Amino acid sequence: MIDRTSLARLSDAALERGLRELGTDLAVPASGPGIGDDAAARALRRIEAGADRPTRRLWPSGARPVRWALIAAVIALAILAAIAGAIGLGLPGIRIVPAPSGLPLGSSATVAPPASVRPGSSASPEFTGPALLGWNLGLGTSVEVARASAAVDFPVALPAASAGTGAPAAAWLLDGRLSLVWPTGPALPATQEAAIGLVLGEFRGSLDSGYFQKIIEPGTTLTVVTVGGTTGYWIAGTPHEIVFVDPSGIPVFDSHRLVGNTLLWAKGDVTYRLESALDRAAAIALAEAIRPEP
Amino acid sequence: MAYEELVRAYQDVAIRTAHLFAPDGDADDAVQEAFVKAHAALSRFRAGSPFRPWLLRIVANEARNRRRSAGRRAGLALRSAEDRRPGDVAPSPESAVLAAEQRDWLLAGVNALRDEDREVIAARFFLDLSEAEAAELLGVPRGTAKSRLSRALARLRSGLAGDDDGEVAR
Repeated sequence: MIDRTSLARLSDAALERGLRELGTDLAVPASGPGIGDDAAARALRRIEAGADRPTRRLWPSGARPVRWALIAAVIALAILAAIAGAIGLGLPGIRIVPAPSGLPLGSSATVAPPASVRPGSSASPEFTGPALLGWNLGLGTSVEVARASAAVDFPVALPAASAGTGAPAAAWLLDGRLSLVWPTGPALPATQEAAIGLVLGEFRGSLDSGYFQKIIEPGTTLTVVTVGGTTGYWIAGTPHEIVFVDPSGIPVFDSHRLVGNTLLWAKGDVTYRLESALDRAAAIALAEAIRPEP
Repeated sequence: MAYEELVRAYQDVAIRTAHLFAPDGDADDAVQEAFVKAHAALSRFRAGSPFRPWLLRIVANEARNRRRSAGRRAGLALRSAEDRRPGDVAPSPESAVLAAEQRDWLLAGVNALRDEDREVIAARFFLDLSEAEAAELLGVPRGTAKSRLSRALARLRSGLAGDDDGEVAR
Protein backbone atom coordinates (compact mmCIF):
# COMPACT_ATOMS: atom_id res chain seq x y z
CA MET A 1 0.00 0.00 0.00
CA ILE A 2 1.25 3.42 -0.89
CA ASP A 3 1.14 6.22 1.56
CA ARG A 4 3.29 9.17 2.36
CA THR A 5 4.92 7.74 5.42
CA SER A 6 6.05 4.67 3.46
CA LEU A 7 8.56 6.97 1.80
CA ALA A 8 10.11 7.70 5.15
CA ARG A 9 10.66 4.00 5.67
CA LEU A 10 12.55 3.43 2.42
CA SER A 11 16.09 2.13 2.77
CA ASP A 12 18.85 4.69 2.26
CA ALA A 13 19.63 3.22 -1.14
CA ALA A 14 15.98 3.28 -2.22
CA LEU A 15 15.49 6.83 -1.00
CA GLU A 16 18.57 7.96 -2.90
CA ARG A 17 17.40 6.17 -6.00
CA GLY A 18 14.00 7.79 -5.58
CA LEU A 19 15.64 11.20 -5.37
CA ARG A 20 17.58 10.52 -8.56
CA GLU A 21 14.32 9.53 -10.24
CA LEU A 22 12.72 12.69 -8.99
CA GLY A 23 15.63 14.64 -10.44
CA THR A 24 14.84 13.38 -13.94
CA ASP A 25 11.26 14.56 -13.50
CA LEU A 26 11.97 18.09 -12.41
CA ALA A 27 10.71 20.82 -14.67
CA VAL A 28 14.12 22.38 -15.00
CA PRO A 29 16.01 22.26 -18.28
CA ALA A 30 18.11 19.14 -18.33
CA SER A 31 19.52 18.68 -21.77
CA GLY A 32 19.11 19.37 -25.41
CA PRO A 33 20.19 21.93 -27.94
CA GLY A 34 19.33 25.46 -27.18
CA ILE A 35 18.67 25.40 -23.46
CA GLY A 36 21.57 27.55 -22.49
CA ASP A 37 22.26 29.01 -25.92
CA ASP A 38 21.00 32.42 -25.10
CA ALA A 39 22.93 32.84 -21.87
CA ALA A 40 26.04 31.26 -23.38
CA ALA A 41 25.92 33.41 -26.50
CA ARG A 42 25.46 36.58 -24.47
CA ALA A 43 28.34 35.64 -22.20
CA LEU A 44 30.61 34.95 -25.16
CA ARG A 45 29.66 38.25 -26.79
CA ARG A 46 30.49 40.08 -23.59
CA ILE A 47 33.83 38.30 -23.29
CA GLU A 48 34.60 38.94 -26.95
CA ALA A 49 33.77 42.60 -26.44
CA GLY A 50 36.24 42.74 -23.60
CA ALA A 51 33.70 43.02 -20.84
CA ASP A 52 36.14 41.38 -18.47
CA ARG A 53 39.44 41.24 -20.28
CA PRO A 54 40.72 40.57 -23.79
CA THR A 55 40.29 36.94 -24.68
CA ARG A 56 43.13 36.47 -27.08
CA ARG A 57 45.97 38.07 -25.26
CA LEU A 58 48.63 35.52 -24.51
CA TRP A 59 50.25 37.38 -21.66
CA PRO A 60 47.58 39.39 -19.87
CA SER A 61 49.04 42.38 -18.12
CA GLY A 62 47.53 41.20 -14.88
CA ALA A 63 48.84 37.69 -15.27
CA ARG A 64 49.50 36.04 -11.99
CA PRO A 65 52.49 33.88 -11.36
CA VAL A 66 50.30 30.80 -11.27
CA ARG A 67 49.22 31.50 -14.82
CA TRP A 68 52.83 31.65 -15.95
CA ALA A 69 53.42 28.36 -14.21
CA LEU A 70 50.48 26.81 -16.00
CA ILE A 71 51.65 28.06 -19.34
CA ALA A 72 55.13 26.73 -18.66
CA ALA A 73 53.67 23.36 -17.70
CA VAL A 74 51.61 23.22 -20.83
CA ILE A 75 54.58 24.13 -23.00
CA ALA A 76 56.61 21.40 -21.31
CA LEU A 77 53.88 18.91 -22.03
CA ALA A 78 53.66 20.06 -25.62
CA ILE A 79 57.35 19.39 -26.03
CA LEU A 80 56.97 15.96 -24.50
CA ALA A 81 54.05 15.32 -26.80
CA ALA A 82 56.13 16.25 -29.80
CA ILE A 83 58.84 13.86 -28.69
CA ALA A 84 56.31 11.10 -28.28
CA GLY A 85 54.90 11.86 -31.70
CA ALA A 86 58.38 11.45 -33.10
CA ILE A 87 58.73 8.04 -31.58
CA GLY A 88 55.37 7.05 -32.94
CA LEU A 89 53.35 6.48 -29.82
CA GLY A 90 49.84 7.53 -30.62
CA LEU A 91 46.68 7.37 -32.66
CA PRO A 92 45.27 9.78 -35.18
CA GLY A 93 44.55 12.90 -33.20
CA ILE A 94 46.05 11.59 -30.01
CA ARG A 95 49.56 11.28 -28.83
CA ILE A 96 50.39 9.70 -25.55
CA VAL A 97 53.63 10.46 -23.78
CA PRO A 98 55.22 9.80 -20.43
CA ALA A 99 54.29 12.33 -17.78
CA PRO A 100 56.78 14.99 -16.73
CA SER A 101 59.03 13.85 -13.94
CA GLY A 102 57.41 14.24 -10.57
CA LEU A 103 54.38 12.22 -11.41
CA PRO A 104 54.66 8.56 -10.45
CA LEU A 105 53.11 7.38 -13.64
CA GLY A 106 51.21 8.94 -16.43
CA SER A 107 51.29 10.39 -19.83
CA SER A 108 49.79 13.10 -21.91
CA ALA A 109 48.11 12.86 -25.21
CA THR A 110 47.40 15.43 -27.83
CA VAL A 111 44.17 15.50 -29.68
CA ALA A 112 43.74 17.57 -32.76
CA PRO A 113 40.84 19.96 -33.07
CA PRO A 114 37.82 18.05 -34.18
CA ALA A 115 36.77 17.71 -37.75
CA SER A 116 34.13 20.12 -38.90
CA VAL A 117 30.54 19.14 -38.64
CA ARG A 118 28.60 18.72 -41.81
CA PRO A 119 26.58 21.79 -42.57
CA GLY A 120 22.87 21.45 -42.04
CA SER A 121 23.28 18.51 -39.74
CA SER A 122 22.43 20.21 -36.50
CA ALA A 123 20.53 18.45 -33.81
CA SER A 124 16.81 18.66 -33.41
CA PRO A 125 15.71 22.17 -32.49
CA GLU A 126 13.33 21.49 -29.64
CA PHE A 127 14.45 21.24 -26.06
CA THR A 128 11.74 19.55 -24.20
CA GLY A 129 13.30 16.60 -22.59
CA PRO A 130 14.08 15.74 -19.08
CA ALA A 131 17.52 14.32 -18.60
CA LEU A 132 18.86 12.36 -21.52
CA LEU A 133 21.47 9.82 -20.58
CA GLY A 134 24.83 11.55 -20.22
CA TRP A 135 23.38 15.04 -20.02
CA ASN A 136 25.68 16.09 -17.20
CA LEU A 137 28.94 14.89 -18.69
CA GLY A 138 29.73 17.94 -20.79
CA LEU A 139 29.50 15.96 -24.01
CA GLY A 140 27.98 18.79 -26.03
CA THR A 141 24.47 19.05 -27.38
CA SER A 142 22.16 16.14 -27.92
CA VAL A 143 21.46 14.76 -31.34
CA GLU A 144 18.94 12.06 -32.14
CA VAL A 145 20.66 8.69 -32.20
CA ALA A 146 19.09 7.90 -35.56
CA ARG A 147 20.55 11.09 -37.01
CA ALA A 148 24.00 10.77 -35.50
CA SER A 149 25.52 9.43 -38.72
CA ALA A 150 24.25 12.45 -40.63
CA ALA A 151 25.84 14.78 -38.11
CA VAL A 152 29.46 13.72 -38.57
CA ASP A 153 31.68 13.32 -41.60
CA PHE A 154 32.79 9.76 -40.88
CA PRO A 155 30.86 6.49 -40.71
CA VAL A 156 29.48 5.95 -37.21
CA ALA A 157 30.56 2.64 -35.72
CA LEU A 158 28.39 0.63 -33.35
CA PRO A 159 28.82 -2.65 -31.48
CA ALA A 160 27.56 -5.71 -33.36
CA ALA A 161 24.34 -7.22 -32.03
CA SER A 162 26.35 -10.13 -30.66
CA ALA A 163 28.00 -7.81 -28.16
CA GLY A 164 24.66 -7.57 -26.36
CA THR A 165 24.84 -3.86 -25.65
CA GLY A 166 21.64 -2.98 -27.46
CA ALA A 167 21.23 0.47 -29.00
CA PRO A 168 22.61 3.67 -27.51
CA ALA A 169 20.10 5.72 -25.53
CA ALA A 170 21.55 9.09 -26.37
CA ALA A 171 24.01 10.75 -28.71
CA TRP A 172 25.92 13.97 -28.12
CA LEU A 173 27.89 16.15 -30.44
CA LEU A 174 30.63 18.64 -29.69
CA ASP A 175 32.51 20.08 -32.64
CA GLY A 176 32.41 16.93 -34.70
CA ARG A 177 33.16 14.66 -31.78
CA LEU A 178 30.36 12.18 -31.32
CA SER A 179 29.61 10.55 -27.97
CA LEU A 180 27.15 7.69 -27.78
CA VAL A 181 25.80 6.69 -24.37
CA TRP A 182 24.35 3.34 -23.35
CA PRO A 183 22.44 2.55 -20.18
CA THR A 184 23.56 -0.23 -17.90
CA GLY A 185 22.50 -3.72 -18.90
CA PRO A 186 23.46 -7.39 -18.72
CA ALA A 187 26.53 -6.74 -20.89
CA LEU A 188 27.29 -3.32 -19.41
CA PRO A 189 27.75 -3.01 -15.63
CA ALA A 190 27.16 0.34 -13.95
CA THR A 191 29.99 2.85 -14.20
CA GLN A 192 30.73 5.66 -11.78
CA GLU A 193 27.52 7.14 -13.16
CA ALA A 194 24.94 4.66 -11.93
CA ALA A 195 22.67 4.82 -14.97
CA ILE A 196 25.44 4.66 -17.57
CA GLY A 197 27.00 1.46 -18.83
CA LEU A 198 29.06 2.71 -21.74
CA VAL A 199 30.21 5.93 -23.37
CA LEU A 200 31.63 5.49 -26.86
CA GLY A 201 33.38 8.50 -28.35
CA GLU A 202 34.20 8.75 -32.05
CA PHE A 203 36.03 11.54 -33.82
CA ARG A 204 38.20 12.17 -36.80
CA GLY A 205 41.65 13.05 -35.64
CA SER A 206 44.48 14.78 -37.35
CA LEU A 207 47.81 16.00 -36.17
CA ASP A 208 48.37 19.08 -38.21
CA SER A 209 46.86 21.96 -36.26
CA GLY A 210 46.42 22.63 -32.60
CA TYR A 211 45.99 19.98 -30.01
CA PHE A 212 44.56 18.94 -26.74
CA GLN A 213 46.61 17.77 -23.84
CA LYS A 214 45.40 14.86 -21.87
CA ILE A 215 47.20 14.59 -18.59
CA ILE A 216 47.10 11.32 -16.80
CA GLU A 217 47.38 11.75 -13.09
CA PRO A 218 49.08 9.70 -10.44
CA GLY A 219 46.99 6.64 -9.76
CA THR A 220 46.24 6.15 -13.41
CA THR A 221 47.83 3.33 -15.37
CA LEU A 222 48.42 3.23 -19.08
CA THR A 223 48.87 -0.07 -20.91
CA VAL A 224 49.57 -0.61 -24.59
CA VAL A 225 47.16 -3.22 -25.94
CA THR A 226 46.12 -4.72 -29.25
CA VAL A 227 42.63 -4.05 -30.55
CA GLY A 228 41.69 -5.92 -33.70
CA GLY A 229 45.33 -6.17 -34.72
CA THR A 230 46.17 -2.52 -34.17
CA THR A 231 47.68 -0.66 -31.26
CA GLY A 232 45.39 0.70 -28.60
CA TYR A 233 45.74 2.14 -25.12
CA TRP A 234 44.06 1.02 -21.93
CA ILE A 235 43.81 3.76 -19.32
CA ALA A 236 42.60 2.62 -15.91
CA GLY A 237 42.43 4.03 -12.42
CA THR A 238 41.89 7.59 -11.28
CA PRO A 239 39.82 9.76 -13.60
CA HIS A 240 41.95 12.41 -15.21
CA GLU A 241 41.80 15.98 -16.25
CA ILE A 242 42.15 17.33 -19.73
CA VAL A 243 43.92 20.56 -20.49
CA PHE A 244 43.56 21.96 -23.94
CA VAL A 245 45.30 24.85 -25.53
CA ASP A 246 43.62 27.13 -27.97
CA PRO A 247 45.37 28.23 -31.16
CA SER A 248 46.65 31.39 -29.48
CA GLY A 249 48.21 29.40 -26.70
CA ILE A 250 45.73 29.94 -23.90
CA PRO A 251 45.45 26.86 -21.74
CA VAL A 252 41.92 25.89 -20.86
CA PHE A 253 40.96 23.29 -18.34
CA ASP A 254 38.34 20.78 -19.05
CA SER A 255 37.19 17.92 -16.96
CA HIS A 256 35.27 15.60 -19.14
CA ARG A 257 34.16 13.41 -16.38
CA LEU A 258 35.32 9.91 -16.88
CA VAL A 259 32.76 7.36 -15.90
CA GLY A 260 35.14 4.43 -15.93
CA ASN A 261 38.20 2.92 -17.52
CA THR A 262 39.04 3.99 -21.03
CA LEU A 263 40.18 2.13 -24.12
CA LEU A 264 41.53 4.16 -27.04
CA TRP A 265 42.10 2.83 -30.52
CA ALA A 266 41.76 3.91 -34.12
CA LYS A 267 40.62 2.67 -37.48
CA GLY A 268 41.83 4.69 -40.41
CA ASP A 269 41.75 8.29 -39.30
CA VAL A 270 38.88 7.84 -36.87
CA THR A 271 39.76 7.52 -33.22
CA TYR A 272 37.50 5.66 -30.81
CA ARG A 273 37.26 6.08 -27.09
CA LEU A 274 35.38 3.49 -25.08
CA GLU A 275 34.61 4.20 -21.46
CA SER A 276 32.95 1.62 -19.23
CA ALA A 277 33.23 -0.43 -16.08
CA LEU A 278 34.35 -3.45 -18.10
CA ASP A 279 37.71 -5.04 -17.40
CA ARG A 280 40.47 -4.86 -19.97
CA ALA A 281 39.72 -8.12 -21.77
CA ALA A 282 35.98 -7.40 -21.96
CA ALA A 283 36.57 -3.83 -23.16
CA ILE A 284 38.89 -5.05 -25.91
CA ALA A 285 36.37 -7.74 -26.93
CA LEU A 286 33.66 -5.09 -27.13
CA ALA A 287 35.94 -2.75 -29.09
CA GLU A 288 36.63 -5.51 -31.60
CA ALA A 289 32.87 -5.93 -32.09
CA ILE A 290 32.45 -2.25 -32.97
CA ARG A 291 32.16 -1.72 -36.69
CA PRO A 292 31.03 1.10 -38.95
CA GLU A 293 27.38 0.89 -39.81
CA PRO A 294 26.71 -0.41 -43.32
CA MET B 1 38.40 30.18 -29.12
CA ALA B 2 38.71 27.32 -26.73
CA TYR B 3 36.64 28.91 -24.00
CA GLU B 4 33.68 28.94 -26.33
CA GLU B 5 33.90 25.17 -26.54
CA LEU B 6 33.91 24.90 -22.77
CA VAL B 7 30.90 27.18 -22.56
CA ARG B 8 28.98 25.10 -25.05
CA ALA B 9 29.92 21.90 -23.29
CA TYR B 10 28.69 23.09 -19.92
CA GLN B 11 25.86 25.48 -20.75
CA ASP B 12 23.09 22.96 -20.19
CA VAL B 13 24.26 21.73 -16.82
CA ALA B 14 24.91 25.35 -15.83
CA ILE B 15 21.31 26.31 -16.58
CA ARG B 16 20.03 23.31 -14.65
CA THR B 17 22.19 24.22 -11.70
CA ALA B 18 20.87 27.78 -11.70
CA HIS B 19 17.28 26.50 -11.74
CA LEU B 20 17.95 24.08 -8.90
CA PHE B 21 19.75 26.53 -6.66
CA ALA B 22 17.40 29.44 -7.17
CA PRO B 23 14.13 28.23 -8.71
CA ASP B 24 12.73 31.72 -8.63
CA GLY B 25 15.83 33.51 -9.86
CA ASP B 26 16.79 34.48 -13.38
CA ALA B 27 18.67 31.39 -14.53
CA ASP B 28 19.71 32.73 -17.92
CA ASP B 29 21.06 35.89 -16.40
CA ALA B 30 22.92 34.00 -13.68
CA VAL B 31 24.52 31.64 -16.19
CA GLN B 32 25.58 34.47 -18.45
CA GLU B 33 27.23 36.29 -15.58
CA ALA B 34 28.83 33.09 -14.30
CA PHE B 35 30.47 32.32 -17.66
CA VAL B 36 31.87 35.84 -17.86
CA LYS B 37 33.18 35.65 -14.30
CA ALA B 38 34.62 32.17 -14.79
CA HIS B 39 36.49 33.40 -17.85
CA ALA B 40 37.95 36.29 -15.92
CA ALA B 41 38.90 33.93 -13.10
CA LEU B 42 40.45 31.18 -15.22
CA SER B 43 43.90 32.15 -14.05
CA ARG B 44 42.84 31.33 -10.50
CA PHE B 45 41.63 27.90 -11.47
CA ARG B 46 43.86 25.30 -9.90
CA ALA B 47 45.32 22.91 -12.44
CA GLY B 48 44.37 19.34 -11.75
CA SER B 49 41.17 20.15 -9.89
CA PRO B 50 37.87 19.35 -11.54
CA PHE B 51 36.51 22.10 -13.75
CA ARG B 52 32.82 21.25 -13.57
CA PRO B 53 32.18 21.82 -9.85
CA TRP B 54 34.37 24.93 -9.95
CA LEU B 55 32.20 26.39 -12.70
CA LEU B 56 28.94 25.25 -11.11
CA ARG B 57 29.92 26.86 -7.83
CA ILE B 58 30.16 30.21 -9.62
CA VAL B 59 26.81 29.52 -11.29
CA ALA B 60 25.16 28.61 -7.98
CA ASN B 61 26.46 31.77 -6.33
CA GLU B 62 25.20 33.91 -9.19
CA ALA B 63 21.82 32.17 -9.07
CA ARG B 64 21.50 32.71 -5.33
CA ASN B 65 22.31 36.38 -5.82
CA ARG B 66 19.38 36.59 -8.19
CA ARG B 67 16.92 34.81 -5.96
CA ARG B 68 13.86 36.97 -5.75
CA SER B 69 13.60 37.74 -2.10
CA ALA B 70 10.14 39.26 -1.99
CA GLY B 71 7.29 37.00 -1.00
CA ARG B 72 7.18 33.26 -0.79
CA ARG B 73 10.04 31.31 -2.24
CA ALA B 74 9.16 29.28 -5.29
CA GLY B 75 9.79 25.55 -5.09
CA LEU B 76 10.97 23.13 -7.71
CA ALA B 77 8.23 21.81 -9.96
CA LEU B 78 7.60 18.42 -11.49
CA ARG B 79 7.39 17.85 -15.18
CA SER B 80 4.24 16.11 -16.35
CA ALA B 81 4.56 12.69 -17.90
CA GLU B 82 3.46 13.84 -21.36
CA ASP B 83 6.52 16.09 -21.59
CA ARG B 84 8.70 13.04 -21.71
CA ARG B 85 10.21 11.82 -24.89
CA PRO B 86 11.66 8.49 -25.95
CA GLY B 87 15.16 7.87 -24.71
CA ASP B 88 14.68 9.77 -21.50
CA VAL B 89 16.37 8.41 -18.44
CA ALA B 90 12.92 8.02 -16.94
CA PRO B 91 12.65 4.71 -15.20
CA SER B 92 10.35 2.18 -16.75
CA PRO B 93 7.28 1.55 -14.61
CA GLU B 94 8.49 -1.83 -13.46
CA SER B 95 11.92 -0.57 -12.39
CA ALA B 96 10.80 2.71 -10.85
CA VAL B 97 11.23 3.05 -7.13
CA LEU B 98 8.43 5.54 -6.79
CA ALA B 99 4.84 5.72 -7.91
CA ALA B 100 3.80 9.04 -9.43
CA GLU B 101 2.01 10.01 -6.26
CA GLN B 102 5.05 9.25 -4.16
CA ARG B 103 7.15 11.42 -6.41
CA ASP B 104 4.85 14.34 -5.67
CA TRP B 105 5.21 13.74 -1.95
CA LEU B 106 8.95 13.38 -2.19
CA LEU B 107 9.16 16.66 -4.10
CA ALA B 108 7.00 18.39 -1.52
CA GLY B 109 9.32 17.03 1.15
CA VAL B 110 12.38 18.37 -0.66
CA ASN B 111 10.73 21.76 -1.20
CA ALA B 112 9.91 21.98 2.50
CA LEU B 113 13.59 21.66 3.44
CA ARG B 114 15.74 24.62 4.32
CA ASP B 115 18.00 25.89 1.53
CA GLU B 116 21.14 24.27 2.89
CA ASP B 117 19.52 20.83 2.94
CA ARG B 118 17.87 21.20 -0.44
CA GLU B 119 21.11 22.33 -2.04
CA VAL B 120 23.14 19.34 -0.92
CA ILE B 121 20.40 16.99 -2.13
CA ALA B 122 20.21 18.83 -5.44
CA ALA B 123 23.98 18.64 -5.91
CA ARG B 124 24.21 14.91 -5.18
CA PHE B 125 21.01 13.58 -6.73
CA PHE B 126 19.58 16.13 -9.15
CA LEU B 127 22.93 17.09 -10.65
CA ASP B 128 24.38 13.61 -10.10
CA LEU B 129 27.66 14.92 -8.74
CA SER B 130 30.07 12.80 -6.75
CA GLU B 131 30.55 13.53 -3.07
CA ALA B 132 33.81 15.37 -3.80
CA GLU B 133 32.26 17.41 -6.59
CA ALA B 134 29.24 18.30 -4.48
CA ALA B 135 31.55 19.54 -1.73
CA GLU B 136 33.44 21.70 -4.22
CA LEU B 137 30.19 23.07 -5.63
CA LEU B 138 28.91 23.90 -2.15
CA GLY B 139 32.26 25.34 -1.14
CA VAL B 140 32.65 23.15 1.94
CA PRO B 141 35.09 20.39 2.95
CA ARG B 142 34.16 16.93 1.79
CA GLY B 143 33.41 15.72 5.32
CA THR B 144 31.05 18.63 5.83
CA ALA B 145 29.21 17.85 2.62
CA LYS B 146 28.86 14.25 3.71
CA SER B 147 27.45 15.06 7.14
CA ARG B 148 25.26 17.78 5.67
CA LEU B 149 23.80 15.26 3.25
CA SER B 150 23.06 12.71 5.93
CA ARG B 151 21.35 15.36 8.08
CA ALA B 152 19.38 16.59 5.07
CA LEU B 153 18.20 13.07 4.31
CA ALA B 154 17.26 12.54 7.95
CA ARG B 155 15.22 15.74 7.96
CA LEU B 156 13.62 14.73 4.65
CA ARG B 157 12.61 11.37 6.16
CA SER B 158 11.33 13.04 9.24
CA GLY B 159 9.24 15.46 7.19
CA LEU B 160 7.85 12.61 5.12
CA ALA B 161 6.96 10.70 8.25
CA GLY B 162 4.89 13.67 9.32
CA ASP B 163 7.03 14.82 12.23
CA ASP B 164 6.44 18.51 12.86
CA ASP B 165 8.14 20.49 10.10
CA GLY B 166 10.89 18.11 9.28
CA GLU B 167 13.19 18.96 12.15
CA VAL B 168 15.15 16.18 13.72
CA ALA B 169 17.76 16.04 16.40
CA ARG B 170 21.13 16.75 14.92
